[in-house]
Amino acid sequence: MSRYSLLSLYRHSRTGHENWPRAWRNPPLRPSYDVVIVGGGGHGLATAYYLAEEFGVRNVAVLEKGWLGGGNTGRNTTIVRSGYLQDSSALIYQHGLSLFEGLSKKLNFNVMFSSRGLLQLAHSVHDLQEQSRRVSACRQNGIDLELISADRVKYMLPEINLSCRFPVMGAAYQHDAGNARHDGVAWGYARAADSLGVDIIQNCEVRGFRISGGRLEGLETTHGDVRCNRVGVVASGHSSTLAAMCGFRLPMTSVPLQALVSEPIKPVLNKVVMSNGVHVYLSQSDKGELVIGAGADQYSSYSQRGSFAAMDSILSPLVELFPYISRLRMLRQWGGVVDITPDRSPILSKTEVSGLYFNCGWGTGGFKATAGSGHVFASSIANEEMHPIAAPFSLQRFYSGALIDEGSAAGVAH
Amino acid sequence: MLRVNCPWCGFREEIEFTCHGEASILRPSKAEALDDRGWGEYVFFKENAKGIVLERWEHSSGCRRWFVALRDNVTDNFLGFAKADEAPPRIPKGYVQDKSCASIPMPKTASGYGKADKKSLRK
Ligand SMILES: Cc1cc2nc3c(=O)[nH]c(=O)nc-3n(C[C@H](O)[C@H](O)[C@H](O)COP(=O)(O)OP(=O)(O)OC[C@H]3O[C@@H](n4cnc5c(N)ncnc54)[C@H](O)[C@@H]3O)c2cc1C
Ligand SMILES: [Zn+2]
Repeated sequence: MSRYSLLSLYRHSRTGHENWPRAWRNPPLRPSYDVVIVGGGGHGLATAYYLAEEFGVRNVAVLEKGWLGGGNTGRNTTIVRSGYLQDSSALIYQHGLSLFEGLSKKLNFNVMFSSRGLLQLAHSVHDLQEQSRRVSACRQNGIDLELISADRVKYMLPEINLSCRFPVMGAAYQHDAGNARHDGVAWGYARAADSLGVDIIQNCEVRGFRISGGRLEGLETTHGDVRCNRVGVVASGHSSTLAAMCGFRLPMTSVPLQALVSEPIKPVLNKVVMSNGVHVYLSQSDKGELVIGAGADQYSSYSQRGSFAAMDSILSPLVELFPYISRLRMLRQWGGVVDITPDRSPILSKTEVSGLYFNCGWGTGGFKATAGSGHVFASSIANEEMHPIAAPFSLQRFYSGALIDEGSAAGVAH
Repeated sequence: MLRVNCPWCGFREEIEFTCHGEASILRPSKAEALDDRGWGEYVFFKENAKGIVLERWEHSSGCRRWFVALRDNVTDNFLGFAKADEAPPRIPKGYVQDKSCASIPMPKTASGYGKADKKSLRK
């Protein structure tokens, strides 16, 4: 891997930036691997990277049916935070947040992580009570959340209209939360993993699994068959379709989640703002666009398209909250297929097939966990034993009843 | 916006409706004999199929009645509607699914909607 640096930037500027090497190879699929990761989103690529970098498993392939990060990774609104209610969630999301710090350096790729601070608005007394409960729980777990008054909200966000249809009564504030660049995270992990020998194979769809006597033996793909005894499926909204190929079901529903961006404007918003009450979340990108996320649709869908109803339901309260937004034109709108579990917590688990692992169910809020999830999942596959941070997220919890309920605390869990 | 055809009220906009998910989920007949695994499967696990799905919908902001709908969740097109005690809608002859569904096993939701289900819906 040729290192990116100020010096290399200067050197390439002398030849008009025309001779930059490819960031990763485009290798053919080999007949066998030690570990295959299905799904080339952020979580899959991070898993492959940590397998090679930290756990010494280098004979690894990542199979992606489309292009890298073309799933939810490249469609999300990039909020990175860790203020979740339950202890197990606090551990896994905080692990993710702490790995984001220093990630650009580690990967030698600018993932543009910016811990600009994040406010979760409270619009009612109930919201405030719920926020203060979560703030206390987070502080017990060493996550630096605080409850702030409406005055401080107004100080941080001068353009906000506090007394609208959804009046703002305060907020939960996490100062070290923020944004990162979604593509950058996928590409950074891909480039670093590739340089450690991981084969990244795009346009390669997994079509079936070879299972014999309860043990995994290989995969069938559009590029031919692969022999492999350990496979990690990291396919977000499509996980149920892969589970169906292995003969089991998952506790999840795939629904559309959408976002939209405005035309670029001068800096107006230097924090991330979320409102669970009206299901909207907002930040300003470095290009100046307002990035606006909406709520999920109610029906299952693999269309990668969100409904007008869901968009409408967030835009009307949003222009009350920030009246200047009514003057902005929206440039693009898109949707992703998010994998929602009954307790709104992810699944990192062994399965009934020995050697087959699933990492999914991140739903509307897994981008923030990309690094942490990849790290603990890699450890689990390498050691054939779930990492302690990952262990509570096993499929077993849906039989034992030990759910990790983030549904109420993080209703919109982005 | 999706237009949903309530069997009683006719076409109305999606926001009047609530989707209640897969229509093939049946309450186990011998609930008292079920172990933790059985309960878990019944309560939480889903086909979550890609392609043609049979679902229960409710006209929640309208007549408040329940019905079943057949839908292609790759295109979001509805393929048919029926009252709960009617025969479920059939996949139109010659209907072609998106090619991305080729490798995915056919969901039970669309094909396995049997007599037992019909009876339980009528209650
Ligand atoms: C609109 C929107 C806004 C969001 N906002 C936020 C946010 O602000 N903060 C946050 O933390 N999270 C957010 N999320 C959630 C976040 O995007 C996801 O949880 C996260 O990106 C999931 O990453 P992943 O790598 O697991 O999945 P993906 O990036 O979806 O990767 C899975 C990959 O698997 C591939 N695949 C599927 N089937 C197969 C097959 N058979 N063979 C080979 N490959 C296959 C897919 O093509 C895909 O590329 C948002 C999501 C959406 C849609
Ligand atoms: Zn009706």
